[in-house]
Amino acid sequence: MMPGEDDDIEQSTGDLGRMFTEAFSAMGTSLFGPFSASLRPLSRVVVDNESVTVTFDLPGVSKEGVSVVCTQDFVSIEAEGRKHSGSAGQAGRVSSVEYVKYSERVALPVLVDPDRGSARFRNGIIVVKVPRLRSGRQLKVAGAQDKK
Amino acid sequence: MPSAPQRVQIVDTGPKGNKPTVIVGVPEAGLVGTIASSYLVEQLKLEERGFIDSDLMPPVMVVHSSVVRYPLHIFGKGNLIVVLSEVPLVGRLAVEVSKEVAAWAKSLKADRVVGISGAPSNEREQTQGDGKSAVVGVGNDQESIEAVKASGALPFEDGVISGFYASLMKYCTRDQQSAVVLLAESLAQFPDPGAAVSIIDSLNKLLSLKVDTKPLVQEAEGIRLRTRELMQQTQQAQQQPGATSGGSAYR
Repeated sequence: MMPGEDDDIEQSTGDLGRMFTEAFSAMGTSLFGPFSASLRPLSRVVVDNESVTVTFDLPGVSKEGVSVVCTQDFVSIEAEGRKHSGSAGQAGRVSSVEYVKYSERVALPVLVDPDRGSARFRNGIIVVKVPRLRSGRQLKVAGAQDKK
Repeated sequence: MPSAPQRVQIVDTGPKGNKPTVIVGVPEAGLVGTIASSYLVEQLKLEERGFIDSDLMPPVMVVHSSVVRYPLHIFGKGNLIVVLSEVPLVGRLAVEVSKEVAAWAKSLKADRVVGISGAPSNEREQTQGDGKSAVVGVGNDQESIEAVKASGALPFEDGVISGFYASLMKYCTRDQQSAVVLLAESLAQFPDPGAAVSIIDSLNKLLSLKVDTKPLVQEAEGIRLRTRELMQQTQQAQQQPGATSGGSAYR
């Protein structure tokens, strides 16, 4: 991907494969999931009046390697990336990485409308933005004098 | 009467008297300071000349090449010293360490202390950390302010700095130690090597260094992977009671 290029991935929900992914990722609560050596990516959840934005840091992954599932109350992600090599600085002298695989499920603090969600991938970071679910009806406010 | 225990101990076995520049990088927004200072140590082949310890530090030691080391390192060569922390410094620890670093730099007759870090930025979040970022700088004397301008960093004219670097600037000013803080616009909660590249570019101009940033750009993904845990620890540390998250608001 060229620097500065934006990529939009429209995510749909409901397909069986992704339901499996969703159920699978729901089990992984430790740094390494129980069924595969998946890393938990760094993530960030921001809630505003209109929407919920969940951002995942997926270094080493390209747009094609990412799968996102969104329901009314969580966002889950599966991603795979390519090999890495090279030296490391003082802050992280660990052996080079052959491949990367990420898996994470983030519970949302409010309900969202997954049908209107979108995801944008750039620079190994995916931003999933989903409008908040608005339901309910206006209630009539009764006062004490209404009983008379 | 016994004297009060020393809360921070700086052990420096390096030479004195060559008016060094002291660069300070600690984990804050985007780990920019840590990534940039770590890269300087590696590229300039700086040698470890000491460490900083404190009874306020978490019980953490780091292991590099099977050798156990203190996580707050002092590296140097010639008239360049780099202080590099591999653990978050927040709350009382940030205050005490910055106070002692300022006094130590003064005792070395340091030419200047240069703090390097990230400043969380909406623009950076919008571009998802792609490409380079703008650098702003502030100095505590006229000469430092002019040096910041000459380095191409935007002058930090009005605003607030918080966290470790605010404390470092405070104690350098108290000790009449010339100091600069360079802040690259960065991602707040994800490691941001791109912002570290911008800091290195500014340091090249500020200190007449010739550090090639291409390897840092090429290795950015690997750095982001390897520093995830430190980023997580830094976020958690900044959420503790009494901690002030590092950052700035400027205009």
